[in-house]
Amino acid sequence: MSDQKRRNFQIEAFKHRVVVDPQYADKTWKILEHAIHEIYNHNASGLSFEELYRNAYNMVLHKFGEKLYSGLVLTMTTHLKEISKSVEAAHGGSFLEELNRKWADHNKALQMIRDILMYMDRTFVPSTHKTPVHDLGLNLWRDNVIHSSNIQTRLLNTILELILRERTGEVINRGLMRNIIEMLMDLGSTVYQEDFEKPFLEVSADFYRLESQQYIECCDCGDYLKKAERRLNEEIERVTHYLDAKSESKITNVVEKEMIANHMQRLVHMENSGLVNMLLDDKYEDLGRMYNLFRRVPNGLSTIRDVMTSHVRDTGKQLVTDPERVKDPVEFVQRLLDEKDKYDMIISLAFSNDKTFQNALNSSFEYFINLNARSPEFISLFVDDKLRKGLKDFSEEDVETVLDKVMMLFRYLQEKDVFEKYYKQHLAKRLLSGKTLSDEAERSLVVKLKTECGYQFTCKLEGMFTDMKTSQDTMQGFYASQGAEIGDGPALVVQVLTTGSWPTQPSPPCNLPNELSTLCEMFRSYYLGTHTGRRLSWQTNMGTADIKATFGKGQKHELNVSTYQMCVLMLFNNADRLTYKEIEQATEIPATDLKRCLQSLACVKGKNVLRKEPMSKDIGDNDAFLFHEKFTSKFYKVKIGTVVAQKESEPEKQETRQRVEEDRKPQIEAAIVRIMKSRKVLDHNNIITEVTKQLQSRFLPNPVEIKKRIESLIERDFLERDNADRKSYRYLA
Amino acid sequence: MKEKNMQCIKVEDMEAPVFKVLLHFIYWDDLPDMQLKELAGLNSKGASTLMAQHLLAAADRYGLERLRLLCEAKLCEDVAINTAATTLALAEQHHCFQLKAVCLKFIALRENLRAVMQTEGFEYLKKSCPSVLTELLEFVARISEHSISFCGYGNDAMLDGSDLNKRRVKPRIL
Repeated sequence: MSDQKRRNFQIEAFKHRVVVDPQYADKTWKILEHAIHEIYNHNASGLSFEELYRNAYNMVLHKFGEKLYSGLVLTMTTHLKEISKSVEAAHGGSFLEELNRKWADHNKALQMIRDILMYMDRTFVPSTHKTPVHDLGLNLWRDNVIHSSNIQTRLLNTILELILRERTGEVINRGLMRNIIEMLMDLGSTVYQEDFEKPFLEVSADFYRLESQQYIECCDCGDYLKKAERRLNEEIERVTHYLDAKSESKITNVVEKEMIANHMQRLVHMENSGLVNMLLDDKYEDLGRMYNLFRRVPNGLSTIRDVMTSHVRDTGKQLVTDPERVKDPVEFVQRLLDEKDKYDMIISLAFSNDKTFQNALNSSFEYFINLNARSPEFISLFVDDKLRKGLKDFSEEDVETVLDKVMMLFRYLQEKDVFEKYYKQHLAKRLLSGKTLSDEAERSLVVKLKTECGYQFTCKLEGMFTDMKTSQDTMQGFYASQGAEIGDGPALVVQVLTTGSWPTQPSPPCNLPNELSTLCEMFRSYYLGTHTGRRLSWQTNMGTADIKATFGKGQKHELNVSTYQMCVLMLFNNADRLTYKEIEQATEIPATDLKRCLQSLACVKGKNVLRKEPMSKDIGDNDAFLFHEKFTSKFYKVKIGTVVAQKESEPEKQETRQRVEEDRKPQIEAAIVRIMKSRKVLDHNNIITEVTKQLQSRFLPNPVEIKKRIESLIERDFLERDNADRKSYRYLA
Repeated sequence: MKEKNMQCIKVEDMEAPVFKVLLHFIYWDDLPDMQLKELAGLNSKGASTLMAQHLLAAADRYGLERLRLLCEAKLCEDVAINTAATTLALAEQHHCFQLKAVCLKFIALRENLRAVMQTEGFEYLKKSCPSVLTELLEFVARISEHSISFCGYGNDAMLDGSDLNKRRVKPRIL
């Protein structure tokens, strides 16, 4: 700072001017009052901020704050009353615009006034607990303009009218609406709610109630839902454009209640277009829409779920009990898989993979699959068909997919032990006839069963595979050591089956042709030589043979037949004509099997290497059979009588069922003993519950059977009845 | 308003050097003692006290809360016989309760009272804030009764006839 610039400043004690003029306050107030008028009249440019601020400051400093404040209230109120009149005077369409304009003006004025009076706002207002200037301005606006009797109702009605028009398709001035609504929001949530939101919601409820009534009378379910969705989106959009965000959930609740919740049942059950029809026709888009709309209302999803569940159960029940379907097991299971695929697709595409729906679907399938007692057998037959030929040309991935789907059906079965029995039978036939498409596929399925049910379930199955492999090695060993002696005779292939692993079969008698019996004996001694302590019995009812045959005109064919058929045909090397009785005596094959065998050799077109007299289908005791010289076939290799897995006949089925029941008894007993050992004492009902729980992964035990097993265990001193309580049992160590 | 288009704005009722300090504070947020004296253009001991008075009024007028508190603190330290009365008036008008209590205590002391009453500032006090004199009287009465010094700033507020505004004990950092 230079010397010249330095002021000649004598500092003194600071003293405010002492006011002596009795008119001081009035004069100062007049200045400010005038300023407020000018501001409201858009004449602020002529005012000096410094002067006005200073005057307001001085008034407060000299303890005239009260006069300033009440003057402010009065002046502002007067102006607002005028504004109110001018707004009231606006005609029709310009009402809102005029209000909006005046509101903007007021806000601008208020800001300037607040700036001028800031000292009062900072010191006088808080100490006297008065309303600050800005809030005061809002409150006065509210009281004098918005709540003025000529404006309040008109404002609400105008707004609601515009919204109604917009709902009926007109375009309205959204910017203006937004400003007006924001004004109400600025005046406080009470104003917004009381002066707008509450009536808005009521009116909207009426509107949608009416509209939904109209729609439901004339639209089908899909169309109605489209309309409802559209209205819902409209309301959400309305909120984002010109309402308070907090109103969104309230208005959507109104739409959801009026359009969806109130008509839920009628929509779902609508004839020809309701939920069931959508499911049947795979209407993913409609179903998805229904899901999205219904999830917004209480009990919406459970309604859909329940209808879907009962529909699936009904269709499923029809499927499994329809006598036509039951005729073809493979078709039966394929239909089940298709049904499952269908609903999986629906749940994934339309119901956003909702777990509760998945669970409902699973329980429905579990319900109806078990309505048909033959389901386990059929599923095994389906697998058999696939593993024999169905999976031909499938990629590894596709094979896995099919097997996984089968496993899914398997999980629904209650009687998994029945499935096991059939699966073993069918697998045995596949393995022994060499008719399985893919070893990997077989193994893969066994692994899946093991993962699902544990080692116990699959150890025997694995034993079957092991036997097949071991037999191969045994055959190699046999030919390696005995090859020279066998020379040019028939080639023998033996599969040695461990009795426990394979389905039990009786080994009926059968006279093998000489050429073969010697060979078989050689094998037996070879085998027993290397494996002491074992016993071998030939299963002639399960073997196959390839025979070369020369017919009348010299045509040669290779016949692929069963062992029984081979025994019969070999007889014709030494005779041209044989009666049934003669054949029976020579081969010692059991009658039923022999008759079936002969039928397949003589009565099937294209495979009749024998001729029968008479030509009837049935085999009588005195029928005669002749070698059919004139047999022809386009193929060199002729397959006669493969041992195919078939749906069991009624008696066979009974037999299997009986065996299953027998097998269950020891399992039930083992479970009872396990439970009693750990609990020591338990009452009857609890035993039933526990046993059922333990065994449910294999089958559903019959309580009557459980009771019988308990009695049996009591007889054998494993348990005793409790003396005090006849319904309780005690474990005997 | 007018100021929008003006090149030069006249600020009334404030000394230029005071305004300069004010401006400095707004931009630098500090108030070194030496600078005050320098700007005051004098080397007299009481200069910085008087400057602080001016600054306090200016800070209160324009809402510079932190500056206000700094000035108040300085004035509390520097209360002296020749400035006590004017400081008290300032404290009363600008609602500085802490400062007011300090001044009242100081003036009421037997050794100070007579001297202060003879200052020019005291005359000014009588004219500008007559109600304060009543409070001073009560202070004097209490001292002569108990002969112990007061502590606790809040108590004084209750004797004050105006209001019950709670005072901040620590200065607010702006």
